[in-house]
Parts: sequence; structure tokens; C-alpha cells
Amino acid sequence: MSDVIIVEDEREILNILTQLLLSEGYQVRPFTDSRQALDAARAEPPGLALIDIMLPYLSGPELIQLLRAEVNPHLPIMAMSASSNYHQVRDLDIQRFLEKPFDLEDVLMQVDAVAGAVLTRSPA
Amino acid sequence: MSFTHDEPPDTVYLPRMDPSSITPPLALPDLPAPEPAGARPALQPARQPARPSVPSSSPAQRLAFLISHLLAAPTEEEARHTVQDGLRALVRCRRVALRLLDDPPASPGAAHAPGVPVPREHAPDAGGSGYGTHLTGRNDAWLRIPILADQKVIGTLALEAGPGQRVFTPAARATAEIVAHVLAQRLAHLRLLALTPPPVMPVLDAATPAPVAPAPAAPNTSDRSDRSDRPDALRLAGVCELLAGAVLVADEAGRVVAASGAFRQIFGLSRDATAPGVPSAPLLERVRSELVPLDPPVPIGPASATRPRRYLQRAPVRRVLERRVRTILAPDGSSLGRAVTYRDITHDFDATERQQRFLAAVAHELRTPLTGITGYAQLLLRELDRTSGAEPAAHGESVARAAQATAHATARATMRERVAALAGQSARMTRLLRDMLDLTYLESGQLPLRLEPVEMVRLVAETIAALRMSATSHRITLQAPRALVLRGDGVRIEQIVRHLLENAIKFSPGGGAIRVTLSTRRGAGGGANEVAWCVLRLHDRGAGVPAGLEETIFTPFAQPETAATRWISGIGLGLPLSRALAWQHGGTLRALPGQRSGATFELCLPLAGPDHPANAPSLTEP
Repeated sequence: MSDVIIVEDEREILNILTQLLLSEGYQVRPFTDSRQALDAARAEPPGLALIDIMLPYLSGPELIQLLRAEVNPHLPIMAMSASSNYHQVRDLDIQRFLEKPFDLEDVLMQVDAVAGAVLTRSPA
Repeated sequence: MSFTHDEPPDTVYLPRMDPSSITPPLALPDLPAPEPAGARPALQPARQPARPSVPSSSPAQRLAFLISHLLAAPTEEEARHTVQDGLRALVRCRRVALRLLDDPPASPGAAHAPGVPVPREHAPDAGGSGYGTHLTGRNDAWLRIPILADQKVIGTLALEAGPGQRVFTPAARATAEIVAHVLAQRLAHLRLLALTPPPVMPVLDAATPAPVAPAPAAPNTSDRSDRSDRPDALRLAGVCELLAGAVLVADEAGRVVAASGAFRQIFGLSRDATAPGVPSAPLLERVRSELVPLDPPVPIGPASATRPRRYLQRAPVRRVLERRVRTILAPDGSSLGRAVTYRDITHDFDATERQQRFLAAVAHELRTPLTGITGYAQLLLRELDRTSGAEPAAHGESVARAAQATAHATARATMRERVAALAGQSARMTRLLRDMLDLTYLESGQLPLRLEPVEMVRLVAETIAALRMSATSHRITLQAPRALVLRGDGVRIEQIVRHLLENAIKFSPGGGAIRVTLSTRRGAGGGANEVAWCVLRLHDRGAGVPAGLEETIFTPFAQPETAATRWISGIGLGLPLSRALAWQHGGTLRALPGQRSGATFELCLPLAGPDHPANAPSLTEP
């Protein structure tokens, strides 16, 4: 079984993404705290991580580094941000970047493209 | 009324007026026709009406008229006469006397008409009391104004009040000071021009062979024939001074013709370093080596010539300078030389930067709540669509239940419509914010291009296909070669093309044909500077761009609101952003003026990309 870890400190956006992926039959573990997300990923590696860049405590880029180092160097990771600061985004070791506000259909397409093969999905 | 030395002098010492605050008319008047040499002696009271007389309008207009004539005076003699005649008309006085330090010593017989006393002001023993109004004790008064060039006295201008006149008003004094200032500038230029072998001059008369670098003329030459051929050089020098900025003018051979004081001051150059005849290339190279470019390099081409470029000067003070290079053309279209101007835009630049930081912060803050609004609207839509077929069947139910179900379905349809509108509007706001941020990043140089080969025909065709959904009543046609590859950032070029197409669709609401053509064009430079261009033209049959707004539509939020510019308020930031992206590619984007119906936009992009060696920025430098 392989699920999606979502880390986003804005509750409403976290809720939207969670509802969206659940409605498509994916299994989701939502977090507002990046430290808890890291612990959860260490305990049980996910099939995909969807990470906001601007996070308190442990920032998005830091979390991405730790996931790569400690969980799975090939973990599919999608980052998202309300900032389209290209310098910052270009240096990230990620598969996809979602610029906020995103289109939900686009999010689903990207998830499927990046990790569709490894994610467990039940009929919605 | 008589004056004696015992009476308090009737002198009004004004705070010094800044003559540069008086703006002469920008267009120099046509130069007067050359007059026969030696037509008039130095101080002839009655002048021949060869040059236009001062019009009878307001004093300020008459002063402006005098200044414009003075700046266009082709010879020193003409300049002197213009001052003498003009001032006498402007300031009520009996006589205007002009003396320069390098004039031959004045003697009553030579310099002045018989019977007119040598003005005491010009006499060698008159010094000591400084400038201002002086009383001669001979029933008259003189107002003496220094003629200053670079803070050195090069002569005096003296006005004589007639007997019975209560001498000079503050306005008269200010007028004389302004005229003295302009005269000093004009004289300096005329002397520079006399020292400099002229650039190749336009042949004004086909029968006369082109003058080939005549020997340098003496500054005070009375030979008018060789100078009357040089209106363009004079106009050039006049314009150079009118700009009152940092200007360096070089002739076709690259030698300095003139440099303004501001130019020397900004770059800490000595007078010798910018003396006429000095090669301009090493000088400009040295000047530029001290500057840090703030704009990405641009290629040679139609865009590079007119586009200002910004530089940062770190020392001696931090300045942001805007540099322009213009070719100065003779009436026959041949090049006379170039003018390089630097404008200090530090204040504007800093203000813009603060504004950009603010915009970026606001846009960023707005995006987070917008993500929530867009997300929930889209989630709602998905849920409505998903459950739309799950209504309980009305078969076999009572009529009341069936009516209830129908009402329910109608309410759902209305709800779906409204949620879709909500999603659509928030998507629109998203696009606007994205454009705003892109534009902000682009203008502050934080949106680097990712250059790669881009197949334009496919890119344009795919963009059209993606937009066909929203343009069902439009017929979009593409006329293009089989393939057209250029070096650029495909994502950004697609952004430009999409904005242009969306614009065409939006402004032809009734539908109609939108014609897109793709072609190539050779550069005008020729040789190594030649750049081949990809030209995309997009023509629609919509409302068209209101005449005169062809440039304004590319300026974000800069236009004052008028009936015409209100048209612009609906177009968002697509066009300014598109132009900025085109510029970043070393290309151009413009609305072609004079369209009979609809609008035509033309996008030109260099095939070799902005970083091709043939487009190296150094080639654009003089």
C-alpha cells in the first residue's frame, strides 16, 4: 500500500487537496506540521509527498532534503507555493512544481503522471 | 531725472535666476537664409529685416522666440546681432552693447558709431564695483551682466538706459541674465564647431561638390560661406544643449563633436578628455566600464536602436542612469553622427523598485486566499457534477413529488452555473495575479529565460488549438511555413502568443476571422550584424486599437483615464507582459498603426536567440 503525504500549513488548502485526492480514491495522510510529517514518513514511507514550500519550523526545502536522505532518495515529490520565485524553485530536487492557486484537474493529472503507478487507489 | 554718484544706486539685486528653468521651444525654428558676407557693421542701430522680427506677444513668448533664434544662430556675428536687436526690443533701453574678452580692444572709432560714447562698462578701468546697475553720472545708467561660460567670465553684456528712464526693472535684469546665459552656450558651441573639422555634411545643392573636411576656421571668422552649409551640425549642437542633460555627440568618424557639462560631471571627466576631435570610442568604453548593466543584453536590430538601457553607477555616488544612443541624420537620410545620452533616473528607479516589491508582496499574499476560493469552487463543481445523475427517479411518484424533483433539479442547475462563474472569476483573478508577478519579476530581472530550440509553427498551432474552446464563433487561421525554429524560451513565447490570441478573441466579441501569419525577415543591418527574425502577425476584425493608443496599451496602469483609455482598462496586463517578454528575447512587439479595420499585432523574435554572438551587446555600442 502506498499513500500520499500532504504537508501544508494553511488548513483550508490542506482540506481541499485532501478532499480532492480522497474523492479520486487515493489514500492520504494530511499534516499542517512538517515535523510530524517527517516522523510519519520515517515510520511508513509514502508513495508521493505533496509539500508546501513555505512552512514553519521545518521549511519545505529542508523537509524535501530530509525525505530524500532518510526515507527514499527516489521518492516522487511535488512542491507547491504561492511564490513563483523561479530561482528558489529551480534549485529544488522535485518532480513537479504547483504554483498556487492551482487548478484541481491539473493537480490530479500531475499526481497521476508522477506517482500514478505506485499509489494505491480504491474505486471512488 | 538725473543720477549722480551720491544718490543711492537704483539697483535691484535679485536672487539669481536659473536660466535653465526657462524652457525654450523644443523645435528650433528654420534657420534664416544666409546673408551676403559683410552686409552689416558691428553696431548698426537699424537692422535689415532679414531675420524674422520679434513677434508682438507676451514677454515670455518673445523671450522664448529670441532664445530659439539665438540657439540657431549660424555665426557668432549673427548671435551677437540677435542678442542686441532682441534685447533692445524686449527690455526698453537705448542701447545694448556686447563685448567679449577676446574681442579686439575697443576703440571709439572702430567699435562704435561716431558720437556714441564708449560705454564705461567696457572700459578697462570700470572694474571693481562688480556687476549690476551702474550710474555713469552722465545722465544715464548701465546694467552690466557678465557672460559666463563654465563659471568664467568671457565677456559682458551692457544695457544702456536712456535719459529719463528709471533704469532697469527686476524683470529686465532677469531677461538680460537669461539671454547672456544662452548666448554663452551658443558661443561655446559655435567655437567648438569652428575648431572641429566638420563631419561629412549633407550636400544641400546638387551642383556644389560636397565639402571635404575644410581647414579649421578661426573662431571669429567672418567668412559665412562655409558655415551656412552646416545647419545640421548647428541644430545638433543646439539640440544637445537644449537637452540640458549628459550628452556626448560624436561624428561619423567617431570623434567627439561636443559633450555637455553634465556628461563630464557625471563621469568625472576633464574638459580635455571630451575635447572636440578626441576619439569617442575609448572614452565611451571607459565610461561604460564603470557602469553595471541592469537590463539583459539585447541584440542588434530594430529594437536595440531606440531602446533605453539602464546602468548602475556605484561611484562616486550611487546613480541609476538611462543610456540612449541615437543616430543623427542629415535631411537626405545619411548619418551625421551619434548622440549618446545618459539620464539620471535614480529617483524613478528606486520608486519603481519599491512599488515592485510591494506589488510582489501583495500578489503573493492574495494568492493564498485565492487558492482557497478557487479550490473550494472547483471542489463544489466536481461534487455537483458527480451527484447530478443520482437524483431519485420521479417515476411512479405523485405529481407533487415530481414537481418537487424538477424544482430541485432547476435549483441544482442554477447552483452549478453560479459555482462555475465563481470558479471562472477566480481563475481570471489568478491569471491577472500571475501576469502581475511575472511582470514584476521580469522588470526586476528575476525571470531568466530558459533558451532552447523552439519550433514556432507547432507552438502557435497548439496555442490556437487550446483556445478554440473559448472562441467557438471565431475562425482562426494560421498561415505558416512547414517549420520555423528559433532559440528562445518556449513557455514564455507561448505566453505571448496566448495573450495576443486571447486579446484578439476578447476584442472581436461578435466572432469573425482571426488571421495568424508566421514568416521570417532578414535584418536590416547587413553583414555580421544581420539578424534574421521570426515575424508573427495576428490580425483580427474587432474593435481595433484606438488611434494614438498603439503605445499606451503596452504601458501597465500608466495611462490617465479618458474615454479612449478606458478601453484599455479591460485588457489586463497581457500586453505589457508580452512586450516585456519579447524585449527580453531581444525582439519587439507592437500594434501596427493605421489599420482600417480591426487590429494587427506584430511580434518579431530573433531566430538566433538573445544570446547569439552575432547579437552581442557590444555591437550596439558606438
